[in-house]
Amino acid sequence: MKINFYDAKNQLIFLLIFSTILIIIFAVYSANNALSYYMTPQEFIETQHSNNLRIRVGGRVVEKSVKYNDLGITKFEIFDENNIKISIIHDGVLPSLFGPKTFIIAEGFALNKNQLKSRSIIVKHENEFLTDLEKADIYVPDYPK
Amino acid sequence: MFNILSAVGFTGTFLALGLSIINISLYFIHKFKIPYIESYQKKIKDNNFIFSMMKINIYLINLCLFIAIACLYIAILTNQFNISYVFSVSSINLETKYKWAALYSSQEGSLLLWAFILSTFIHIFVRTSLNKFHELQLSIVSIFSIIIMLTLIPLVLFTSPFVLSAINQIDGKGLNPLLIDPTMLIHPPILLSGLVSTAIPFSVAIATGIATKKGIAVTWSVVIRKWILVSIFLLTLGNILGAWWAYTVLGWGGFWGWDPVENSAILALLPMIGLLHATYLHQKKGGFEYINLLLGTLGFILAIFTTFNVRSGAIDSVHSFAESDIGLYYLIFLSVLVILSIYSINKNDFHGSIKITSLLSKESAIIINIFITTMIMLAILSTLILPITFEMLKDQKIILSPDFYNQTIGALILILLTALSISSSLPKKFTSNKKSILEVTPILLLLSIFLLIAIIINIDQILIFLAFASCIGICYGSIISITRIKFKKNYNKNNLHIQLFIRSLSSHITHIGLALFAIGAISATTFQSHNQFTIAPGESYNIGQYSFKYNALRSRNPNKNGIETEVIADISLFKNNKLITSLFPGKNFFTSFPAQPVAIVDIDRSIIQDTYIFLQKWDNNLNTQFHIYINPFINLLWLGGLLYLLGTGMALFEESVVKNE
Repeated sequence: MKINFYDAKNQLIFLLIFSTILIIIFAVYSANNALSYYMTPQEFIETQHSNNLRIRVGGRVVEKSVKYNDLGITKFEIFDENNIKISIIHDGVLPSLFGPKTFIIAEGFALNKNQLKSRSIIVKHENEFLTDLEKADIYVPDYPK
Repeated sequence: MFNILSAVGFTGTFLALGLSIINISLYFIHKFKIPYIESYQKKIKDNNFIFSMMKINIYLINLCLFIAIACLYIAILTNQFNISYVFSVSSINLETKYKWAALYSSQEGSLLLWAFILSTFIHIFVRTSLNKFHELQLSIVSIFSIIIMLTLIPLVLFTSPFVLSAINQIDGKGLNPLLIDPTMLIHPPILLSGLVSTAIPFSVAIATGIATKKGIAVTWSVVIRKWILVSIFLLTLGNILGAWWAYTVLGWGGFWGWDPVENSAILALLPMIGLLHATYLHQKKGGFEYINLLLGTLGFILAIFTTFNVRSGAIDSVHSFAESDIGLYYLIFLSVLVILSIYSINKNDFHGSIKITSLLSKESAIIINIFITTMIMLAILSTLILPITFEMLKDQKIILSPDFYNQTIGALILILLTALSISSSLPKKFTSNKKSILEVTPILLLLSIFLLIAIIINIDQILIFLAFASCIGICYGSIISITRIKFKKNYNKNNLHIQLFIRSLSSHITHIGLALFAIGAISATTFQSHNQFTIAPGESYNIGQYSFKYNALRSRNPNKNGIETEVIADISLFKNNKLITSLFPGKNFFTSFPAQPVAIVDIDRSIIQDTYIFLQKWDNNLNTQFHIYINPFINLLWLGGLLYLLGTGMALFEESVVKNE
């Protein structure tokens, strides 16, 4: 079958096929550099980390572990269901609902075997909150009066 | 323990499910010969009895679900905490207006609202539009019934909002703190309505595809053009409200985080936009039947895929509050829709073909834009499918970071804007390549000038400059096209001309809205500046010509909506030593969730920029840490969004305007 390249319809089809190939190549390349691996604190400790591997670690914030400094760096610990803990050093805004026992996912790069430097934190908006009326292990913030 | 509202509400959902099953059975009785009752079948077919029954059932389903949702809402309003759902989402001191948000704040309620909106849309469609489809009416109603049945099964069997609690509770847990915001009174219902509305094009497309008589109703998408516009309007509004909520509540200074659930919310919108443009081409040039069928079914398939994503927790998202075990059920629901869609696409036998006059014609430009929109949809879809596939194959959870979106989706959006800027200047009717080139020369010149400026000023931002130039080009091309329509002779003497005028005007307004939206989004994302500082009361912090004076930190007890303490910082904002406004960022602490404060953001708005302030924390000496974001031209984003909605809204009313004239 002979394809007539002077026909506008064929030109358009050729353009769209060529664009699709280019977009796929670009998207695969881009995705390869943007993969972020999800781990539990235990998996984080057990993994050999390379410097440029983007990691997400999910766990619950350890009570009374949250420490702030004036430069906006927050340091805290998270634990998983096996009670394995790792430290998170977070540089940035802490989202609403962040607090002790909330389930968070921190994204960043490993500093060492049990420390992650994160730039973004997600707080899971859980259906059932841990701190309910009966069992609240109440963290009392210093309210200004 | 007995609760009348719970009993009536549950009966409503149960009856609605039963009626949908009856409707499906009636369709089979009509379609297939059943031994022993053949003569009876023939009799009721002749009397059109089956079709009338199916229509009445659709109205009854809507009525049953109205009663069910009314029961749940009354239960929330009257604090009936012995219903588990009411206990988990509401409380005595929750303001009445937020009790509306409590209705859909958790999974069971949101699924009931979904079912009610779905049945309402179907009811309206059956009353107003169904008679335009003659031979397809029965198939369309039966597909509606299948969708209603699949929606109601989890509500009745697994996740009913009418389950009673074993203990009689005095007060409820209260509403999710993040939902205590006025935007949340409308954003979820509108987004849900948008997602649900895609069921109409889906059902009509499937019915057309599986029609036994070849060649009937190939123009289905033209007939339901208004329903496509309704979907686009609601999904756009829902997404804009979501972005507004994220901007004004979450405290991170942004409006879109490429979160999987946010991505899911725009997924269903993209095929609807593609379908609207493909319908326009089909109307003008013929052809496009397969593409229309595919895009028509994709909208609802992606809406259900979105629901699966949100409910299953397959991907980690900030919005996983609705996560539960019924995710798997939605996978089955999704499979049914995909099978129906594949069957219908395979079964039909369309012959139409579009004639392309030139690559520089309007129809080529529209096809290219549909193609890019589809590519954006596929790229976003891949970010949602890839993690699930990766986990299944390699047992490793992954997610694509925002870099992917900024690069791939950003590049596609840039191509879309550039293509749209060129196509907006192309003449509606192609005459010659020479004339087309002449028409787009100003746009090409504009793009070249911006590229040159970028090379001179900052080559790193060449793509940003190209995007801005494209947006200006879209506005220029659209305004030129509007002036061309305006000076057409006799346009007001003929209804058809008025209709075409409104259609053209609405499409150009929508495109201008899109361009302004893009300028706002790109500016606020690329040129946002962020400062954080810790100061004591009485101290000031300077950023350029602005000075932030921290006067005091105060607390009070609002005693409503479950807020135990509201902590507010009093900030005076000066520009060149002149007081321009006072800002009050803070935090709310909730009685039920004392360890999980929610930010109170304050913003000084102007068309040039937003000054956005967020309070992070304070110590015992009241030394307080603030984050300031300067977002240039972000208000163009909201303005562009409004224009986009205005254009879509105008297109919705074009026929009625013609009738009034």
